[in-house]
Amino acid sequence: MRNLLLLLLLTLLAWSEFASAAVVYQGEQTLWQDTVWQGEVVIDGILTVAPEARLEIRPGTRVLFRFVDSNNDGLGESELFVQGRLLALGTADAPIHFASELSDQRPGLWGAVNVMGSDQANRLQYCLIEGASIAFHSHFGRAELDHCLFRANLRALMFQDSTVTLAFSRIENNRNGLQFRDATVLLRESVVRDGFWGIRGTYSQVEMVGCLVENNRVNGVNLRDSTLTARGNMVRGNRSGVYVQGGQAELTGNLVLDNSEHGILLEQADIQAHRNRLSGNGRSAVRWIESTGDLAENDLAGNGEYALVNDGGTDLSVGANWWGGTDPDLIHRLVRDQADRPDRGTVVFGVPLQHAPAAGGWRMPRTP
Amino acid sequence: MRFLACLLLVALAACAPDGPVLIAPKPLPVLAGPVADSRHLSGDVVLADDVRVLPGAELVLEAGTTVWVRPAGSTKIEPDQLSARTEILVEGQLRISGLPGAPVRFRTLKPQLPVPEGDPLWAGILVLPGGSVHVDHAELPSADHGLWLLGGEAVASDLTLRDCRYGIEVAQGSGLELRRARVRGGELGLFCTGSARLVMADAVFQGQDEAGLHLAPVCRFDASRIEVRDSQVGLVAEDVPAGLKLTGNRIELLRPGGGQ
Repeated sequence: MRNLLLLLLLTLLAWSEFASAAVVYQGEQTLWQDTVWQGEVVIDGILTVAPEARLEIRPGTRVLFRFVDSNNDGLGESELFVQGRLLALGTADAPIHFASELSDQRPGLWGAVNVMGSDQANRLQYCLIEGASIAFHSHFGRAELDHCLFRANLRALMFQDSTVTLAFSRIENNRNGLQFRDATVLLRESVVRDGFWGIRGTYSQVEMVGCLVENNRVNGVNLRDSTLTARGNMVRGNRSGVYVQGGQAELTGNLVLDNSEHGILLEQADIQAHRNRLSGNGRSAVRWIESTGDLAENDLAGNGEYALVNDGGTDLSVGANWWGGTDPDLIHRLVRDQADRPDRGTVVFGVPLQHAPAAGGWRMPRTP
Repeated sequence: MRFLACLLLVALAACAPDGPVLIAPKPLPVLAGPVADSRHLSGDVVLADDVRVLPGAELVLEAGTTVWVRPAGSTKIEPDQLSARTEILVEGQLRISGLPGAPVRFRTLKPQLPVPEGDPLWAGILVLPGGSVHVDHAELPSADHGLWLLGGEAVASDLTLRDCRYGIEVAQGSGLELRRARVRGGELGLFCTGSARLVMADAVFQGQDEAGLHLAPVCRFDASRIEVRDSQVGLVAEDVPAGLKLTGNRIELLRPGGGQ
C-alpha cells in the first residue's frame, strides 16, 4: 500500500513538472505536422512551420524568443518562420504574448514572426507582440490581424506582395509602425502612434478608415506611387501628417491637426480632398507640388505659415474652402504662390465657404 | 669586347620604356553598420552604408578626418534605420573632434542612383533619445538634415552646414547648444518643431529657400548674436526673440496664421 502511494505521488510530481515546463525549440527546427501550442513555448533559433502544416496557438500562450546575436549587431535572431498557416487566436481575457525571453522588452531582442509564401489566411487575434526587430512580417502572404497590440519593436508590421487587414489594433512606441511594398492593406479603427515613421508604403493599395495616427516624429502617413483611400481618420501631432508622392489619394472627412510641418504634402499626385479639417499644422495645411485633382469643402483655417502652398510650376484651382474668413486679402496672405515666387504657379480659389464645414465623425478606435 | 657588350646592354636597358606598373592603393577604411564599442577614426574614411552607433557605444572622428559619403544604392530601409539615404544614426555618442586648421570634413561621392538636381545626397546625422553628439570644427554639405535631433542632444561649435535641405531640425524632447555656426542654403536653416531647448550664440543662417528659422511656439530659444539674412523668410515665430537679427530677407518675420 505504501509503495502504491509513493508511486502515485511520483507520478503526480512528474505530471506537474511536465505540465509547467516550457517547450523549447533549439537551433533550426521544422514543424512538419499540424501543431497546437498552449502554455509557454521558447524559441531558441529559427523555427519553421512547413508548407501544409498549421500552427495553432491557444489563448493565454506565451511564445518567448531567446536572445541570440551571432553577428554582434545588437539584434536578436530567434524567429518564427511560417510557410504553412498560423492561427494565433487569443481572447480579450487571455491574449497571446510574443516577446523576448528577457524581462526588458527593448526593440530588436528577437527577429520576427514571418509569414512567407503562405497563401492561406493567417490570423492573429488578441495578440501582444513586443521586443522584435519586425513583429509581424508577411512576404507573399495573406493575413488578418485584429485586437492586437504591437509595442517596443523596431518595426511593428512589414508586408511585401501581401494582402493584410489590420483592425481594432494598437501600434505604439515602436521605432516604425507599418512599412510595406506591393501590398494591399486595409486599416480599420487602429492606432499608430509614438514612433518615428507611422505608416510608410510604396506601390500599394491602402484603405484607412477610422484610424488614429499621432505623434510620429518623422511622418504620419507616407506613401509613394500608391493608391490611398482615407475616410474619417485622425492624423495629428506628427511631423507631416499625410505625404503622398506619386499615385492617387482620396481623402474624405479626415481630421489632420497639429502636425509640425505640413498637414498634407502632395508631390506629383492626383488627389481628391473633400470635407477634411486641416488645422494647427506648423508650416501649411496643404503643400501642393506638381499635382492634380480637387481640393474643396475643407477647413484650411488656423495653420502656421500658410493654408495652401503651390510649389509646382503649374497653376492650381481650388474649390470652395473655409479659410478662417472670406476677405480675399486674408486668403491671399494664407496662400503662397506665384505672387511670392515668380517661378511657381498661381492659386485660383473659388468663392470661399462662409463658415467652417462640419468636422468629420471620427471617434477613438475601439482597440483593446 | 665582353665589357663593351655588357655596357651596351646596360645602356639599352636604361633606354627601354618603363614596363607596366601595378598601382594598388591601400583601400580606405570603411565605416558602415553598427558601432558597438569605442571606435576612433582619422585620415580619409568612406561612409559606405548606414551607420548605427549603439547605446553605450562611441564613435570618434579625429581632427583632420575626411568622411567620404557614398550615397545609397537602393531605396531599402533596414528595420533599425530611419532613412533610405545613407545615414549616421546615433543612439550612443558621436564625437566629431575637429580643430582650427584641421576640421572634420564630410564630402559626398558620386551617387549610384540618379538623384534629381538639388535633392540631398545623404540623410545626415540623426540623433535618437539617449544619443548625443559633440561637434567641434566640422563641415557638412548636401544632406537631407545636417543634424536632426529626434529626442537626442547635441553640443556643436564652429560648425558649417551647406546646402542641407534642413540645416538643423530639433524635435520635441531634444536639446541643442550651438556656438559659432554658419548654415548656408537649403530650405530651412533651423526647424524647431516641439518643446525642445535651444541655446545658440554667434551663428549665421543665410540664403534659405523657405525660412532661416522656424520656431514652434513651444520651442525654448535662448539666442545671442544670431543673424538670419538673405532668405525667403527670415523667421517664422510669434515674435523676434532677443539676440536675433533679421537682415535682407524677403519677409523678415512671418507669424503663425499668415501674419507679417
